[in-house]
Amino acid sequence: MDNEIYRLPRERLDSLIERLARDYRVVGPVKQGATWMWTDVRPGMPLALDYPTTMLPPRQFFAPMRETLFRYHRGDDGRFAFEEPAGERPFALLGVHGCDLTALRVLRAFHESSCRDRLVPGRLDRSFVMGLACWTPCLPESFCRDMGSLESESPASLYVWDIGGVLLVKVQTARGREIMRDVGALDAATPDELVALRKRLRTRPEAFPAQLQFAPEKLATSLKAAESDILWEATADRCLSCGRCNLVCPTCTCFDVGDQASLSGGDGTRTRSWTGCQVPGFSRVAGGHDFRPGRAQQLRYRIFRKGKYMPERYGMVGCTGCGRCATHCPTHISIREIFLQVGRAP
Amino acid sequence: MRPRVAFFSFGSCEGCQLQVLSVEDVLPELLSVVEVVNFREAMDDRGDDYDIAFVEGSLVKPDDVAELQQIRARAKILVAIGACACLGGVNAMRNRRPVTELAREVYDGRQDGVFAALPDASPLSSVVQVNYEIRGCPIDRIEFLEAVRSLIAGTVPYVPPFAVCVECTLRGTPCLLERGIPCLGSVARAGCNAVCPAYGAPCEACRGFHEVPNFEALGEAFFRHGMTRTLAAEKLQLFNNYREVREAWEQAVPSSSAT
Repeated sequence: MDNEIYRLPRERLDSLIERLARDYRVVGPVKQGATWMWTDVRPGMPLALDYPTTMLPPRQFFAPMRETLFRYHRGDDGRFAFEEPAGERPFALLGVHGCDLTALRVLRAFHESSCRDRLVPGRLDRSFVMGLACWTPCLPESFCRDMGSLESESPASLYVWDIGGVLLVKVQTARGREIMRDVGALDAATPDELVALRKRLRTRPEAFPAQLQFAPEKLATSLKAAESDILWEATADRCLSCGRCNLVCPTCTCFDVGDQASLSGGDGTRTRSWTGCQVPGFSRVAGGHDFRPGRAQQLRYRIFRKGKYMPERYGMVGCTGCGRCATHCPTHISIREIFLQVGRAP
Repeated sequence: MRPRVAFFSFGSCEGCQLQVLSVEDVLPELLSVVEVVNFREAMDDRGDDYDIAFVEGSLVKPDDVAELQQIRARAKILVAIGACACLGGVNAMRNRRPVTELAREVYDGRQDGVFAALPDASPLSSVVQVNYEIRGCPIDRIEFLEAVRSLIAGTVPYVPPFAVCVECTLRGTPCLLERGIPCLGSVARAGCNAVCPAYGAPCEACRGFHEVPNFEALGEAFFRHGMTRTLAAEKLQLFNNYREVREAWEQAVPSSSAT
């Protein structure tokens, strides 16, 4: 399937959305004010193939910001009855960048690890993803090339290169081929188009100047050396503990579980919702004990989680270099700069 | 037996009581779990025998102190509701100037009908022990019901320990600060579901501060987004001007002249 590259005339994107809408809830990047958000798209809406990343990452469609795990009801006999929510329509995500594709692999690895989750891998299995190649960095803080996610093309049923004029689409799954066939887009890319594509791919790195002076795999060792560095204190002084870095991160996976009960307490809903290690109260456990108090320790943990613990546990670096956390931090704490400092340390 | 609850009001707009009254859809269920014995804004009966007192408003008149102490003596549980009761609220904006000076300015020197005022408008906790707080200007009706549910169940009402930014980001609201709008969300306590920023209005921290506010960083965030640190201080004075609340931020961000 590797060589199945087809042409999709730009105006046929609409037919693609129409076809996908039969089986999926179709979402794509849409500009809202100054911010790009993943939003429902319908045929006729222009699909932005040049968007500079979204504020919230695509994980919201697989591990929702807030989801009902079950409802409960206490019967007259005092016994509880449980009801799971009905299955939702699977999502089709159009135009997912390499950083976010990488993040979907991290998401799966986490949810299929020791604390095996049923819901998130299920949604990943049922969804349809169309990847999209980037030609320029999304944000000044993007360092996807350094983190190896720029060239990531999976998991995606279809992967698109916008080479100007026509779109070139690589079919990567049987489902992807089926959709392309239904849309009537199984004309192979012409040799000229393939040459043009190869040329663009060859020159692409020039648009993504190197930001780190070391390979991401080295991070784990560098971070180990930075265990007690004053770097954490100095950087944490600027941290507001607002939690935005966690929430906009495509690979953060932490959630909180809670009940919303009726006034009499007999009925209720158990939900889980996003939280993160920088959110006050996150590391507080029964009895009021906080096992990771203080901004410096919390910041250190976030960086270690991405650069050391995730590679050790899941075999994948937890940072994709998407640049969201630094961009949306009110005081611009940059994970790229921290990595750089850590890597530079003797 | 249903716990008996009572509602009381001090210096305030009484908007928090209105929020309580706006729960029509669950009123029957609410009244099946509690008995309301005193609620001036809603009924004529005045009972003095109650378990839970919900008190809104800040202390502004000399009489308020004894009245609150009496409520405290009668109630098993005292819950402060709203920014005035919890923080002093907008009433405490007057605390920076002598009350005589303000009275002269506002009432043009006339004394007739002007009631005696305490030197400082202050939150309930400055006089009595407050067991729980439901924050906000006004309080959120859902949060109120959740607090009632917790109190009946014998548990502690949940107060989010984190910043408004958490709720704002999860709503998908573009950051106001990033657009150069003076928003206090990053130091402010959540629980409102970031309703103001969702409609384009910056957060004024009406719920006070989250657990670990960093006011130096707030000043830097304002500065980075093209605003002055003094502007941050001016914004903080709207709801968080009561002496003890102000002490939390005054050292970190330069205070402006009295407003």
